[in-house]
Amino acid sequence: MVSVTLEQVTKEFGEVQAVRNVSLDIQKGELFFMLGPSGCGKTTLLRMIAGFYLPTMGRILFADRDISRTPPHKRNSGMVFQNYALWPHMTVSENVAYGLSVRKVSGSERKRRVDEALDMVRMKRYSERSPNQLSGGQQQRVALARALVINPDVVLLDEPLSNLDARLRLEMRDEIRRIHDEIGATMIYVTHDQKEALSMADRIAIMGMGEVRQIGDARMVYNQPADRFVANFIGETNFIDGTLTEQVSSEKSIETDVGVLRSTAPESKPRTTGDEVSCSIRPEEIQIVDDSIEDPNSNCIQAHVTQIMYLGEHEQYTVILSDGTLIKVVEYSPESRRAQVGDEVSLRFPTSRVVILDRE
Amino acid sequence: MFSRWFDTSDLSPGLVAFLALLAIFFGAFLVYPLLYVFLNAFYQDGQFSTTFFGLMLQNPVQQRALINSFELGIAATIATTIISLPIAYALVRFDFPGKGILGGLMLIPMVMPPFVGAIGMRQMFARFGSVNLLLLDTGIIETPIDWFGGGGFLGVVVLEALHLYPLMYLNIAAGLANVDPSLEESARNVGASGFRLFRTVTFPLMLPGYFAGAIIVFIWAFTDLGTPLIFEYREVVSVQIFNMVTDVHENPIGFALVVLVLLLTLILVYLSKKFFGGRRYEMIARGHVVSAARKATRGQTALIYFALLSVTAIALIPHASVVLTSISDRWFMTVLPSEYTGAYYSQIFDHDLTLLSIKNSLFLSVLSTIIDVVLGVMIAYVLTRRRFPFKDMLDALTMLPLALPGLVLAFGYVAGFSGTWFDVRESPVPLLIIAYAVRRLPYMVRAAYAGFQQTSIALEEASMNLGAGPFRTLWKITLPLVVANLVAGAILSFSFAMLEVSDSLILAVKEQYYPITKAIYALMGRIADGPYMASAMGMLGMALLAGSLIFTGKVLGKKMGELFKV
Repeated sequence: MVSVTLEQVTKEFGEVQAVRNVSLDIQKGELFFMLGPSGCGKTTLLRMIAGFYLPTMGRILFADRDISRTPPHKRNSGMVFQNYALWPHMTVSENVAYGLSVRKVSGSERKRRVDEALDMVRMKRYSERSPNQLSGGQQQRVALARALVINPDVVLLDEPLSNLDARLRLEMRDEIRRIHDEIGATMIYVTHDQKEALSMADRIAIMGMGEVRQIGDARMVYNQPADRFVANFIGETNFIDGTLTEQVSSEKSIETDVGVLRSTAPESKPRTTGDEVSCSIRPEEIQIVDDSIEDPNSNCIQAHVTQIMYLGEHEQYTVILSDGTLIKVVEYSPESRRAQVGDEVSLRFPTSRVVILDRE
Repeated sequence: MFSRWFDTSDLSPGLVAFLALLAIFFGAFLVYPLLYVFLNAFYQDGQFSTTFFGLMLQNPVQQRALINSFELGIAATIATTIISLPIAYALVRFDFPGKGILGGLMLIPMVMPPFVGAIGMRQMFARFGSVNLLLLDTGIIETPIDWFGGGGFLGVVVLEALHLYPLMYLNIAAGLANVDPSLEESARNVGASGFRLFRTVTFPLMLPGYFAGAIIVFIWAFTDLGTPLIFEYREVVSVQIFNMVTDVHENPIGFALVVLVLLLTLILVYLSKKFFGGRRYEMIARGHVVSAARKATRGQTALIYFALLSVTAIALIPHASVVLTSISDRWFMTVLPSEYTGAYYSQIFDHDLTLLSIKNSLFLSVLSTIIDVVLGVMIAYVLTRRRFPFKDMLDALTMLPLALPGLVLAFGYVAGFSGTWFDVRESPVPLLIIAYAVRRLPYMVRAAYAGFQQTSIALEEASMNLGAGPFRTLWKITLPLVVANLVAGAILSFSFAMLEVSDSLILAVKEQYYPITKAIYALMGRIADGPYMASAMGMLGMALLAGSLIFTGKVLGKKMGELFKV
């Protein structure tokens, strides 16, 4: 197990910059996520760590060893591919044993370690099967065992769950997290599924347009997004644009077209009065109320209900503000329906949940 | 993520060395001989001149030969179109019981080089051959009919057509399968139907496939040497060239004739590429998404069966007559042989000429196949897996022999290497091996290319990721996954090499080096038992080719047709 360091890594394909100036410090034993929409450069970054691409600029280090130019087969990383890439002409145990025979591990030792790895992913009784006799989830487990059995310095997972159905995906999330905790491996996990990242990660790097937009743990990237891109990509959010007019200690006032909003949420960077900003407010932080009682810890604005969508465990309201901005509101008590389409309502949300971001 | 980018070039020292080796190989054995022929055709005493072309065109024999060859090519193209187009259309567009078997029947005529069939046909349709005797016996005719009217022209056309219609069929079927059925549906939707639909929508869309087939048939018929030789139909370009090989350096008109054939070939291939796109590696991409086939009615099924079985029956006449000839003890002035024997089959293994030729062919074909496998696998691998400069050129050079008549290449070899190390008058063995290898390399490359293309790169990456270097990965992962394709390609290369006609006839100038095909030709000249033994040899070749085609078809399935496209 090693730490992985990326220093100002850039990758160009002809004219296209797929990855731009990315620096990361991944701790030893960390389950680190790279999350972003397709085309954001996350897979390119992972393939550079595996050695399938060479960085155009920058360095990649395993512990203190610069491996930027090392060919893939000399890096000792274990990769789990999106489509598993199990070799169809070998049995499950032959697939898993492959990396060990390359490393010249002796017969009995090899057998012991293959058994151990298959045991860990609960696939021991399928060891003599051919990969195409296995279900997607089972193939996934074998791919994982194959990557782990060589005791890699770092485990690389490229959208490992994207080909599984929803239920299996949930199960495999727990499974991968369990295995990570069991062996304490450094794992780098690429996905576009925010739920996967939020539920499993020690830390997440959010990527967009080839750049890292924010690094942090799940709570931090959700509650304190660094910019509008992150706020929008992780979870759903509402933006109300305005101008920063007043800063008294931790409380800020933002003048908007629908009135003054107050924010006490922690800020990622200092701002000056007069800055053009966006306020991000998550749909689940907003309450629909009938009265407009003044409360020093809450903001309150007026709106009209335009649409109500029933979604089982919650209801989603779409409301329109006086300046025409559409706002999404999520209510988690569907049985007590408070408003009808067309009603004039008040929206209340805590000042601590109004996150101030650059307008862009 | 689904998009995958590659670095602009993956040149490594190993790749550079391999490309250099290929440059030498193709340079020496493909480019140089052709260039040599060109230069000798256009330069007279160090001066550029077209004198030889003038001489060639003024000579009445050459004139007639050119006209005859053109007529031959066009007649064969028309005949194969008439046979193949309706059948290909029916087989692609209709579903009916036994469709798979009927599709296989369409390929049968490929198992025999047409000149072997010619031996049988001569027996059947000679002045006092089986057919005329039968007709005379039954009183239908009074005097024998001259079936090969025009000095054998008709016989050659019939044989070429019967041999080449499968190639036409494969190309048309591939072209048809590439026509998106929804395009036809939308035409039907706006009211077009029947022949109008075919003429305005289907036919234009399948034209690339049709032209690919038409060009290969035309070139093949235009340049075929074996069949006209057996029919003693000598006023065609191929036979003229064959006759001039022996004195290339005294009579430069041979160069002019070869250049003419070469130019014609290149122009045709260029035109088909330019106007009909080079979608050569696409494996019937959309055909299987929406099945275009609809269920045939009983009447239609009956009609299809009738048409296809009659065509196959007619196509099998030469084969049948070769079989009969090979087992007949006496066959003279009777409809069927009067006595049968299996002696010729044992004789070919006793007789010096035949036994030696079988050994020669085996030796030459094994070596050429080894060259093809090694080069073919590596070429296909770098074409699918690596980026490098001049990739398109390598691709084009490798595929050129598909369209290049064997006659042209062989002539270039004889002329270009005379007086060198490779002089065929010393020993034709090296050039025979190389000629076979160069001519069959495209099949090997395509078979391997298809395999590599189907094998996901992630499988190789997984191996490298686990610590295996490039060679271990190739050996343990990539090759085992494509082995079926490689075996198929190798067997096809081998059996075609065994039955290679024009190269063998031209290059093998000494009896001790005769391969099978040349031995058959030599046997035909012997009065007594010649045709019988030649037929037995032909049967041997047919069995070999049939077996390997069936095997290849099983392995490659639908992609089989792709192997034979220009």
